[in-house]
Amino acid sequence: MRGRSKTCPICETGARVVDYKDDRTLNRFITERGKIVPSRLTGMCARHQRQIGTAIKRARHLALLPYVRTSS
Amino acid sequence: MTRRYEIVYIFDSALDEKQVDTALNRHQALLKPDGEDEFIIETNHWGRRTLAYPIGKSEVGYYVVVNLKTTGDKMGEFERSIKLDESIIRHLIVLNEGEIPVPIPPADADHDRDDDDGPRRRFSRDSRDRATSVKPATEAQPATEDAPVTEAQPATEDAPVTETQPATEDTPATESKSASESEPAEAARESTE
Repeated sequence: MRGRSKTCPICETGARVVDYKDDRTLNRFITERGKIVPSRLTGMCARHQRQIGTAIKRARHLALLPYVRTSS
Repeated sequence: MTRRYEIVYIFDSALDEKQVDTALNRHQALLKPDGEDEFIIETNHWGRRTLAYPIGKSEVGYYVVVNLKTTGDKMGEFERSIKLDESIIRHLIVLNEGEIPVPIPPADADHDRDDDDGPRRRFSRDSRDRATSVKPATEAQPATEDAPVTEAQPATEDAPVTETQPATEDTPATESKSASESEPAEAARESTE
């Protein structure tokens, strides 16, 4: 599960499953515009990147996260 | 065959709790599986919360998260009735992911996990005012919900007390830890933007 140089930030917490209701955690993996950050930047493992992607999309539907954040 | 579902409702914030409860009862009566009375596992009222973006004319929604068991054939009628209810501005139905089997870690791994939970708890507390999900909820409200998680301690009432004391002592340690851990992440994020 752990890479060599970068480790998966979710694996490091010991969590196996990402919760779509946990918007504070998900917030770390979106850009300030609201895009999902690619795993090459976060070092996330494939399994958790998939979970994060699904979770962010669900959270957006529930208005926990923005689809897009416009700069002010 | 009954399966576990998790349903999130966003009600119009104009409704009060009683109205929300009656609406919940009315809709969820449709989900009652044949021959089972206790099908609702947990109902969690998050209460009013600002939406990340306006839905229709609503800026604020009343969130309710319900865990229940039911059979799939009841879902169609249930979802139809939810969609017709104009006081529900948004809903989400998912098969409960809590069912994904989490391998029980051996003693060593368990210890590891506890250590690793520190930073996670930290940043969820840092940036999160209110517990919004099952996992952070258990972490954020140690008095009530931690008890089932940490099985060894909750027997006496002293446990939370003794737990809170080290917590305050731990805070600088975990803070520095999380700070050191979050720095590279932030640096990475900054470089992207």
